[in-house]
Amino acid sequence: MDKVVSPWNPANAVTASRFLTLPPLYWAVMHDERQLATLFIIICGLLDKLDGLVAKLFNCRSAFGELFDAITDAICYGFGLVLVAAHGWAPWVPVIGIIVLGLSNSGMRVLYAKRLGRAANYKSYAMERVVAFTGYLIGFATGGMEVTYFYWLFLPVMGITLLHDAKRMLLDPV
Amino acid sequence: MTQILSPTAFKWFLTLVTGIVAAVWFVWDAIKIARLTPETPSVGDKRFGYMIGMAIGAIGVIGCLRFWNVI
Repeated sequence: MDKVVSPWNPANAVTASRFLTLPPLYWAVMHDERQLATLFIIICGLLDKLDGLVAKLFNCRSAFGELFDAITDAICYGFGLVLVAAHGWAPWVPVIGIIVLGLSNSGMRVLYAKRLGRAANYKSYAMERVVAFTGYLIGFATGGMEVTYFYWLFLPVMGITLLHDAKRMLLDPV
Repeated sequence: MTQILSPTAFKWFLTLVTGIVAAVWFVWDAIKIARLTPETPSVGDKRFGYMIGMAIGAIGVIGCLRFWNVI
């Protein structure tokens, strides 16, 4: 990742294109179009997988790209969670808990970058899985699939992951 | 309301998209844990991450079974 890569590259374009799924997702939820809403959140999730493949294919991986991907995850999934909760398709309490934990995670990543003295995205194998599951959570809400079960179980999983990462980012030597 | 799939087909679609991914996820991360050695870089982080992956996979599979009132 030492090579200088322009931020205007195909992988970041794919990442940015995920924002295009948000207006139709909003429209679908507001019109009780469960199947369409599920389709749009699936497209958003698939684009998340695609940008990594494009980055490898075009050899344009960069620290900025990883950070942009993380920020896009936070915005898209945060928007989706608030949207389904506001529409009554998901319980508010775990959604607020997930957002608070997500913001804490972002804050700790900033502190970690400050400790390192450079822009860097903390590599967390556990949080990668938790973020992927977050995309699914929105799909469970739009599809009406075991919403209470999935949302309430997700909270402790994310909490444990955050505690683990907090120790690594804030206390362990960098 | 737009219906791309019938309600039953949509329910099956959700189950398969969740269940297959969750099951593969569980097995995949279990294999990754089994292949870790003490010499693996960041072995502690990887072990923890794969365990979380297995937990998420198990939650997904159980959720699918609950969706069909199997458990």
